[in-house]
Amino acid sequence: MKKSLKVLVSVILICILASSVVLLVACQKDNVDVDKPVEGKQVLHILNWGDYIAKADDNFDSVVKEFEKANPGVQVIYITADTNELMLNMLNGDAKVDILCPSDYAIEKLIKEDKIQKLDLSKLPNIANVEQKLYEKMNNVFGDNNGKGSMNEYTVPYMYGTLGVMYNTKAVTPEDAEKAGYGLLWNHLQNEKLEKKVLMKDSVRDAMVATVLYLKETKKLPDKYDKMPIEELINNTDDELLKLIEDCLIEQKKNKALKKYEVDDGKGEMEKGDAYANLAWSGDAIASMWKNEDLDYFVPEVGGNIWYDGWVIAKGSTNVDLAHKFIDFLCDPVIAARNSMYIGYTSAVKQDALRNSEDAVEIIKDELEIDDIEEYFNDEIAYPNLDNQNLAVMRDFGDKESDIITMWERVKNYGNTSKILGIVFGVLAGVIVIVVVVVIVLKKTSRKGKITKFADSSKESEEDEDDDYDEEEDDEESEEEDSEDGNDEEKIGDDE
Amino acid sequence: MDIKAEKIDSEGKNKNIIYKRKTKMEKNIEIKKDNIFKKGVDKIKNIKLNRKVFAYPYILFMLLFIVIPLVMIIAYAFISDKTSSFTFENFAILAKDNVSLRVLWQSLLIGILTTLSCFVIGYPVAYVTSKMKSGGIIIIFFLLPMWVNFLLRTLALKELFNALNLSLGFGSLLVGMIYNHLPFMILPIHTSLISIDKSYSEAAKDLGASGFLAFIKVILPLTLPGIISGIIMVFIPTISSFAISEMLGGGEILLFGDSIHLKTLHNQSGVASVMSLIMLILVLISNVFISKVNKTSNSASLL
Repeated sequence: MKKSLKVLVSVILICILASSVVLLVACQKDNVDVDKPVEGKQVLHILNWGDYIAKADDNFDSVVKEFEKANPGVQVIYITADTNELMLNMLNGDAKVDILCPSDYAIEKLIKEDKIQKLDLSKLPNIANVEQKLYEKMNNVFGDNNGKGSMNEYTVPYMYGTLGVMYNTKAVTPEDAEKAGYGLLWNHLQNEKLEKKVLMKDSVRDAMVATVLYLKETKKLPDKYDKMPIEELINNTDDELLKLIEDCLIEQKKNKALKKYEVDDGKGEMEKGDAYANLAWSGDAIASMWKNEDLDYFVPEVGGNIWYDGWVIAKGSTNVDLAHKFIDFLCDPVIAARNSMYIGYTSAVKQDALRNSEDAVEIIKDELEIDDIEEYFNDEIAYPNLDNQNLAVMRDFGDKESDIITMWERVKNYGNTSKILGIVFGVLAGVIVIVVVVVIVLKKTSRKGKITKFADSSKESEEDEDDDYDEEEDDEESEEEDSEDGNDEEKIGDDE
Repeated sequence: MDIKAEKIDSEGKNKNIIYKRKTKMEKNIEIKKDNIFKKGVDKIKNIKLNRKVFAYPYILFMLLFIVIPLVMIIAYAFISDKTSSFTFENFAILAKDNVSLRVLWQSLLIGILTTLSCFVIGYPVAYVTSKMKSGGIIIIFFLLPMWVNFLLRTLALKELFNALNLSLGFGSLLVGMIYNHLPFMILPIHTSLISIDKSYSEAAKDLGASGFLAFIKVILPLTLPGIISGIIMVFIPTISSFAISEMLGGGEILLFGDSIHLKTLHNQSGVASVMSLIMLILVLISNVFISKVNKTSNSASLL
């Protein structure tokens, strides 16, 4: 019996261990989305945002599958990240990555840290399809990256969009919204409906851009900053300007405009009408406007932020040729149209290239249910005017990051929490003090009462419960004293 | 129990001795393959089935997911984010940064408040249900929401606040905290309450104690272990929680967990590690303090 039990238990333990190992392996598989590399195949490791490439639909396979089909003998391993910071960490870590798709400021950082390599433009025939104005814009901002080469030598833009204000036309008229600009988020026109109905992105970068532009709109900036071009202004991290921004963000709370800083739930709250204004990205706004027709989105006249995500090749890539091929594949108009329709942001492939491809036009028309493709191309939300110098690109914070995070923490924590906590704990302390005092007083009076009680036992019935309790304690104490006395006596007896 | 264990032990020892003798003999004589196989089987059979064996999978788990990450947190606390060399810089940054310390203080107070409220609400509930015949079913109703993921529960609570048109802020945060942690307070108290023999309080009443006095002097001390484990299970998660304040805080309240989260996201893992260490030390201190109280109370109740 015992032996068989032992065997049984050891078998169970082994099973548990084995299954945990299997589970671990299985989990890994799930993350990677694709099986282990097959021998004899060239492998391309791609790191991208979640949901940032077209999946299979009725007419097509997923873009990744199509790339594999177009290049026999190639296998793609596709992994995803949620933030730029996580992407950079994954690139630095153990994950094997050939190409990745970070945002503008993250690319700047990667170039600075020497983590990515220059592209071989001769291997990218489709690159002529990419919007040249985007290149101009990024080169204007980032220059030659301290001699390491301009942006277009390193990256091919994939998607782009703007940061602006989304609002509910039931609460705010379009005229008012245009007039208020970013002030809508501060309830500048003191619209009662907007009270506690404004959302802000829980992201310092975006909040800072909106704030600084609001300050510019309302002419609250000192001359020094007011004269700066938007590009320089939104990337300025002087202490003086940071202080202004902090005060302004706190003012937003004091105005009772702000409902909360939203993380992911902003879209949902806007669609349901729980909130009426939000700082939003164009792609999110377009998606929300599909679901709720009352919503509208605009980039205020004063200017705004334009961002893009671009493909770059990691320095350690072992498959540079294939990486180029994949980037080139994404610049194909049909693929670009599919990706753009799936993701909701604007493809970096230029309008002319899309227009010239019948298939691409067909895909866009089908998806948007429009008759004329120009309707989409003329949409200001999807295709902002790239010549507008007031649409600026954000840069990396550099060394200022920790100061900015501290500022952001101060802003987020601003409120009357400490006051409420002070009051609550003050009241609690007060209650405790009063209880202690009452108990002490009752004890003393009950002691006095005892003497009288012995004299007059008829009063006993009038005592209430609390007094009973104290009495009891007193009795105990006296008992203890008695027993102690008894012990002493015993001890004395022992000594004798 | 002990005698049985000893028997098993002595059997094992005897077998070991027999095997040793066997191996000596086999060294002298030629080793047969069959013997080796038999020895292996016997060895497997001879693994002592004591509690240690059951702990091995957990030890492996602990090593992988608790010890190694802990070591990494400590290591990161002493590594500079910028130059990735050994420094005490992170501690200096935190000491200068008065926001994080204020946030820490604030989270501690909110933790205390949540624990107190949970106790004040939870004890009567546990007491009443322990007296009732169908108490177990009622407890299940309290536990039922726990089967839903806490993020979903909190989101649902947020929707409720939205629907009632109540603005989010300190109040909603506190409600969310209490709502999420109340079962952790009720359950241990309930278990310790139902394990108390009724005769104790009856004896107290026979000896002349009023109902209230019997409760204060007998029931309350006997449930102290349950209360303490309830406090541990509520206080420690509340001071380190972060998602609830993000969802229900209405953009007014930053807890220590939020601060760590934010710093990790923005390339300041060094400072974040120092903050995590502070949190760990706080948890340790409260654990030591609580276990001391627990011991003294146990001995007191035994006396």
